[in-house]
Amino acid sequence: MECRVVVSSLSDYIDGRDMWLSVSEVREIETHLGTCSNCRSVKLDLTEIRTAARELPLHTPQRALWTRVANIIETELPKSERRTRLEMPELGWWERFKSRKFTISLPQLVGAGALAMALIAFGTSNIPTGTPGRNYITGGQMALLPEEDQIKADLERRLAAINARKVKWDPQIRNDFDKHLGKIEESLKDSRQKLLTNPGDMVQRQMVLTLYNEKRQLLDDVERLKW
Amino acid sequence: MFSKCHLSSLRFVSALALGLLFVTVSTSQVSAQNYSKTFSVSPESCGLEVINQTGSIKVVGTGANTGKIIINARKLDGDAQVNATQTPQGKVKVEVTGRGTVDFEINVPPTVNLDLFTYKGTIVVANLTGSIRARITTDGNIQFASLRSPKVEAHSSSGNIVFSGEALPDGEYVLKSFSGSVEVAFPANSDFKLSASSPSGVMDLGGFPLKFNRQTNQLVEAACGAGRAKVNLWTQEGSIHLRRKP
Amino acid sequence: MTANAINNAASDYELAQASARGNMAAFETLYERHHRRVYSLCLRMVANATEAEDLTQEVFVQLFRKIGSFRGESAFTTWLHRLTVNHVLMHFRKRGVRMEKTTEEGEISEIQDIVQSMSERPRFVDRIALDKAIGDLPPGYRTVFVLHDIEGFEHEEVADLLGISVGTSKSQLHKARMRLRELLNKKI
Repeated sequence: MECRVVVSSLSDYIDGRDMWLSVSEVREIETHLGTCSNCRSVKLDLTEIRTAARELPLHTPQRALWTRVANIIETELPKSERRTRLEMPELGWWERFKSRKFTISLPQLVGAGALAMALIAFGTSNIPTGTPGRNYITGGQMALLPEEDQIKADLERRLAAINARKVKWDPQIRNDFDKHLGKIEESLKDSRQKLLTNPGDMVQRQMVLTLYNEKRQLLDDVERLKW
Repeated sequence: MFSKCHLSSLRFVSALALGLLFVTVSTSQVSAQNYSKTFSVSPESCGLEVINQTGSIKVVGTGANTGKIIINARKLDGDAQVNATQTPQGKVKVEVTGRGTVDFEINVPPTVNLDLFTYKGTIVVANLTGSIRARITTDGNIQFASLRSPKVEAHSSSGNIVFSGEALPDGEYVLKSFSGSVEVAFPANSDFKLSASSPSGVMDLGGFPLKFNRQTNQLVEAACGAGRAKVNLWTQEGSIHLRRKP
Repeated sequence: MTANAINNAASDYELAQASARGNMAAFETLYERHHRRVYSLCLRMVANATEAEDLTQEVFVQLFRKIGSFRGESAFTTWLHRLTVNHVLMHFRKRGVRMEKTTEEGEISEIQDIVQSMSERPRFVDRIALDKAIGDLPPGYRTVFVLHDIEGFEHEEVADLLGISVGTSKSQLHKARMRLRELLNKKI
């Protein structure tokens, strides 16, 4: 049997010689492999590739993907079922709180007390404006930038209006919108978290503002199309 | 009542009438699938705005200043309508209403100022010297080729942006993609101030003699030459590539 | 036990039943368990991360809509697996991707490989290199390789899914493996 014929049969030979090849073909291939190191080498390589293929690792998509899926499904749930979802878990918070067992060490307790005192002291200080590296507490909610509250309020108002109209959109267009909004919001959450950890990071501040701008422009576009 | 001859003639005439009707309908300027319209414009100052919903927009500057904007549109699906109008000042506005996918191919004088928008689809612009604003809300690549524009602004959410052209003195070039890559090719002797930000991807600024003002994993501020043009590149999740054309 | 702990201990079938009743927490648990497998399959078939994410999203939305029809006759993973493959193939059909893209040079390169195989090396295939090389395969080869060698479908199943003959499936698989061998050899 020629090398070319043997090589072209090797996948059948590896995968299921009994199923795909006749007894005589198998015999001829094995005879050839016994004398031809080239073809033996090819057979070993193909076997390794098949083995490796079965051991390939799983890939992980971006974390924002679940947000996108959830947003779409959310709009498809009937209102009554949304209430059911919100009621999960079955236990009320008091029952859950009562059922927990807390084990706190003395250093943890001291640390928690110090943190509480620091927060109280910070919260009652004057609210500075325009000073980099500071967090701004307004209305009991942490804003990381002086203008953030206003930006968020404006975006939320506009988004609420769009969400009310969104149910009438083409599903694909709605899907695209939700997908992109989800991506922006996920990135914004990450950036805000980094800024929270390091409030003096001017680059991160700029990134947060850029992401708010992205969100604003997405809403601008939808309004421009008058959907 | 009618003879066979009469009936045959009647059938013939009916068939001919139907045929003529079909030909008329299928060659009309505004058929169900294709749309075309031409506007005369002043080459010295002309503007074009295109608002598409889903579909591509391709704008090519013709070699000679013909003084015409020629719009061709092809409707791929849905019941979208194309409306093209011209203001008294000469600016042409093309807008798609209804639902459906429309692809545009537009020939323009090279000096035209463009404002292109599509919710989803690609944008291609070539051979222009006017200012350009190109925006894709969701998915779609933007490609700029052979540009000598003083101002280019482009945005796509999850498409790549590819720019090949000149960085004119005092020009402004702002290219942003949320999750695509941004690739820019300038001539070797270009003179620009660069601000490039890519929180998640790599930045490949190969080949230009940059003087760095700030350089971190996520942000680069640098100048090449006297730094006369301003170049601002951003991608939240993609990579940035700056190439030098020979 | 908290709700999360309950969900984590539940079987796929129980979670599917709960999801069908509109329980988002249960569906989220299913997503957490299976999204990487779905994504990996999509990614290897389309060789594009953004496209793969879109497809993964569509699969899970479709799963949510159909989850009430899962009766537990087969393993949930098998059911989800099929759903994913069918969805990606439909995507290919919409895009007009030709499943039987072949290459004339395939035959020639086989001969060259035979001649040069005296200097072969790989007995261990670098998994990362293999993953990359799979992305470099022509679409038709890649699809058959992913379905058969990675996902474990038999040739009859691959043929049925793709609307090709068993002979074509086997031929495509062999060509895919030979091409991968070529690609992996070039990296060394």
